[in-house]
Amino acid sequence: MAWYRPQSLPEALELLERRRPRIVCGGTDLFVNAPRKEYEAGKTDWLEVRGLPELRRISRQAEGLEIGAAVTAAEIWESRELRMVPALQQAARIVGGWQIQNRASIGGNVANASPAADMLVPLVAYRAEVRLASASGSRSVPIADFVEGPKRTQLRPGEMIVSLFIPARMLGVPQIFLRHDQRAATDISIVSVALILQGNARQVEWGTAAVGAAAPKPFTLSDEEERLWAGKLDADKLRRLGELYAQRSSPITDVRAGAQYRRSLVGTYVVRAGQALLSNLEQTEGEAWR
Amino acid sequence: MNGEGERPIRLTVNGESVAWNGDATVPLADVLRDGQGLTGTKIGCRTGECGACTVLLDGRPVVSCLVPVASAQDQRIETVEGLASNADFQALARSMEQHGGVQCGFCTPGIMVALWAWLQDPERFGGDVRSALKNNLCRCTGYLGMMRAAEQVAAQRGETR
Ligand SMILES: Cc1cc2nc3c(=O)[nH]c(=O)nc-3n(C[C@H](O)[C@H](O)[C@H](O)COP(=O)(O)OP(=O)(O)OC[C@H]3O[C@@H](n4cnc5c(N)ncnc54)[C@H](O)[C@@H]3O)c2cc1C
Ligand code: FES
Ligand code: FES
Repeated sequence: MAWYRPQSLPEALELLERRRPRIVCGGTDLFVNAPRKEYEAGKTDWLEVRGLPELRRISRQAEGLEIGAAVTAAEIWESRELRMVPALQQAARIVGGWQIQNRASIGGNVANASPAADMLVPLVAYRAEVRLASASGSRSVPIADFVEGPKRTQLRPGEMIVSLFIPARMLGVPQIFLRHDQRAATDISIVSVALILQGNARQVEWGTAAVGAAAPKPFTLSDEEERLWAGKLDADKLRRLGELYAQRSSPITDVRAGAQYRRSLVGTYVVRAGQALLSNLEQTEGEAWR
Repeated sequence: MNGEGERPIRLTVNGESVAWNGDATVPLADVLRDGQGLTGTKIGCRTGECGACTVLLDGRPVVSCLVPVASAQDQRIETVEGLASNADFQALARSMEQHGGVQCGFCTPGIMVALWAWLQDPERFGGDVRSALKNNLCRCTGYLGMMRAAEQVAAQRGETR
């Protein structure tokens, strides 16, 4: 067994190609209940990516915002620069508790592809790109395609996530992340919603939402259906939008909640997210008037 | 790099350099308890939920049951034993006594580490101590005493500044 801690991305990719180790970042998914029997069997090599400078960067570019895969949830919600993506900051701040947030990486959250993953949901709403690299090159995949289903992604052997890229049109636009859970503590999501709305209650220019934990992976509506967000957004329209998202969901029944209950929560949370954003908008407009 | 796992893993625990010769994936919590005899770090769940195993890595609280020891190599590790000599830790301990914040010996060390970390910069959470304790479970009489204890130390510190 080897524990590799390379100092640069090229070195890491070369090791990944040659030794095919298992990638570990914060370890908050991999080391739960430390399945030591399996890990200690001496068969697993590990590649620790937590300290790679290329995976630690946050950089604003003309086309958007790039967040390194090893940036942690705590670093995300504490970052001044990331105030332009408040829904992601809200999702990062709800991941586990402080101790988990100090280790949990955004790349690990995406790669783990849990249906209940929180940071993944705003990223899907943003139409973020997953930037990947291997010894033989790099590529970029839309996040909705990258995540195929529970714990399944398009990550190829020898490949790692380098960063998540959020397109410029999502930055600084009013947005919110809401999650329903049982204990509001270290529990996991039963239903979550990330909503982004450009405009105001009288005239929404465009809106988009992603729903988490209510299907095998976070989902959005089709482009066609999403146009419904545009225009005047009153209570009735918001309710109809909530119903549409609920219809599109395909929740499961588990120990936390039944499928029917989850489905109705989807509608409720889309409506709540809409109401909360609209009232925020009115407040800030009010302030601007004064 | 612990290439083939031959070299011992070097750790800095409470300011001292120590070596670990065992498996790289053993949880830091076990290395601290069994290897270093630092039994103030408790193990309650091994799933990252209870917070009894909280230690600081480079000043940030983490659950050491989920940290493979190899991953803590160039970080400053501080346990409850190491923090205990700090003046503000002692102030917190006294305040915990006064407010009835010390309830059981199992959760309290991890709670003290998290509260001490919170005290270093309460503004990180906008002064709210509840968010800092989200990852520390207490199932006896609740969080009120602990939160008041920490808030009082923070308030007193604010006055003396
Ligand atoms: C108590 C507790 C509470 C939690 N609560 C929440 C919660 O509320 N919401 C939530 O979303 N999650 C939660 N989690 C899950 C977890 O913290 C997150 O999914 C976290 O973001 C994973 O990141 P990590 O760096 O710890 O991943 P790791 O455990 O290091 O890795 C997870 C997976 O990702 C792969 N991986 C990591 N980095 C890369 C990379 N750069 N490229 C390719 N593959 C990579 C690993 O190989 C592994 O398969 C919780 C976990 C615990 C223990
Ligand atoms: S033992 Fe580590 S969180 Fe419970
Ligand atoms: S302090 Fe241990 S259960 Fe409350």
